[in-house]
Amino acid sequence: MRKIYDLTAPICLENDVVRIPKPKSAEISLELIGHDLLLSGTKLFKYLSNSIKFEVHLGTHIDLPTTFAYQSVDPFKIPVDFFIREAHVIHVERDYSKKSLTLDEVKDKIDLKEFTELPRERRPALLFKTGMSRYWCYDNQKYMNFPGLSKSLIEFIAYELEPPFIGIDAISIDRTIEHRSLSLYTNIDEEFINLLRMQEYTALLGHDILLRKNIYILENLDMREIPSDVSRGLLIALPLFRFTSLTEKSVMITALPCRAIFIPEPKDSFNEIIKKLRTLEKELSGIIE
Amino acid sequence: MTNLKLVSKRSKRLFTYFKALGNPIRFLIIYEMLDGRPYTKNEIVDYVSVLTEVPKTTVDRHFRTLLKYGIVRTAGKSARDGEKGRKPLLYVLSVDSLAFYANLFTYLLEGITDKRAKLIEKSLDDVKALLNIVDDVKLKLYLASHDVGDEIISNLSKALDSCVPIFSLVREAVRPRTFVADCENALELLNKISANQVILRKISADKMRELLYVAHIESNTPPEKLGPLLGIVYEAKLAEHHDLWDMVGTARHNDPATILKTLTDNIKCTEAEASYLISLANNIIRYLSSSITNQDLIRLILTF
Repeated sequence: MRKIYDLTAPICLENDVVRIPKPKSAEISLELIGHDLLLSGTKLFKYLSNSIKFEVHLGTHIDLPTTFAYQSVDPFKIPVDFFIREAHVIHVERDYSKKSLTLDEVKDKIDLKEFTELPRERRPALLFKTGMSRYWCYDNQKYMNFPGLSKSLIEFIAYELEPPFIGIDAISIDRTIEHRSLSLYTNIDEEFINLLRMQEYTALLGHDILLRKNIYILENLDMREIPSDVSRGLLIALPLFRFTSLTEKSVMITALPCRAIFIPEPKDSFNEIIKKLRTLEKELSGIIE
Repeated sequence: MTNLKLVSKRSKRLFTYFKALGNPIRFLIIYEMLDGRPYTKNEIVDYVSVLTEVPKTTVDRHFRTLLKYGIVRTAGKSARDGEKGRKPLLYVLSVDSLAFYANLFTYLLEGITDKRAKLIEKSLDDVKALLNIVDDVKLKLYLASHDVGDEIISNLSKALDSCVPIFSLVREAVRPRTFVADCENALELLNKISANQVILRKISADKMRELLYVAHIESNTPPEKLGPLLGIVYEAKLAEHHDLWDMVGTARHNDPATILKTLTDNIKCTEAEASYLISLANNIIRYLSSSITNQDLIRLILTF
């Protein structure tokens, strides 16, 4: 079996308390569940269980266009193979205390043809390894101060690469201080959703640009273990939950918490075959495009 | 049997039309003249005779039959002198027969086009199925441990080596790639073409010479710079032939494969060379895109 890396950021517990960045919320509790026996009125069957309550934008999750009320895709109908695809890992570890990640830093590391020669639905995902994962749980303040991806880089991704989704081992692709303002809105009504549809998000512009183009954003990955010489692999980022709607009106799910694993591209004789298969894939999908 | 006396004049004419088509030689003559242009008898007889390998006298006899039926008529004299110094007669399909055959062939060819579309659609379904197989194999290779035998890998590699160029050609014809814009891409493309026997068969030596020449004119690269790239290294030859057309013509090996191989081996992607190479690659893409027919595609897909 090949080496498999778990890219899911752990939910860190400090006794019973979930240690997460402040604007997010999560609760975990241990409960005793009992079933009443109707006849005798006694509780005979008992077992322990946990209840977890958390924001879907917490931990490793995929931001969906519905986050900003763009309903171009029904999250309930995304096929499972969408979440299983090859991914390019861009290593951009550095000190992110001040400057955001720019296009110049990554342009040489991205092979444009690997994206443009495939139809959009078959393109690989693009993962950024910034090194911010090391602060997750241990120094949430530093983790929250990720300066984000520059606008030029976001636009390059949105209009040139157009991958189905991008991933990052940071809290967000935008400057994260803005997250705190989100907690101001507590009640969601129709008027609020319409307002969301109308406005452009300067605060979360990166999200806005990508989600408008149906490029999903896989945030909060844990990429510490991925070696620096690994630049490609198979990403499996399956949502934890599968939703379906029994009525016509479906609930607007805005993010999908997921379990992400990564299998690096093999380096042995399989590698040559995979390369050839990739070429064949480009040619075949070019024919039926 | 129907009494022909009772059949209307119009129906009799219809019988004649179909009777005329009843022989493959006459069928081809009519098909050739369907564009409504006037032809000399020699043009038609030569064409059909070459196509069918039937003696000219036989074709001539059938042509005269069509004249007798009134399906072909004379249309004045040719402006050019014929073989014997006289201006030969021109022939066209008569107005009513032209209308009849044009309608008939349109109807028949639409049927063929329709069938072809269905054939292509079926072929595309096969391509989709193949694409799913590619996905499966790729996924298995990621997940598989090292216990897959070398023989399987070797066979898979060979199979891919043989089919990738074929589908590459099909793709190029169906949906030409964006034209190349830099030297590396142009070089990559020419390398692929020079290694692909299927594509090379589509480019004759003369066509290659023409493509090289057009790129030379477009890129405005001096011949003395291109000579060495194309393997023409003798000073004397360069001095003797100032035009690339002549140079390629006198090159010892002027088959497309050797020319492209020499070119890609020698190129250093300097500014002048890059401009020439990009122009050449784009011209080849244009040529291949226009020269591959639907039949080629179907054959390529179905014979895979």
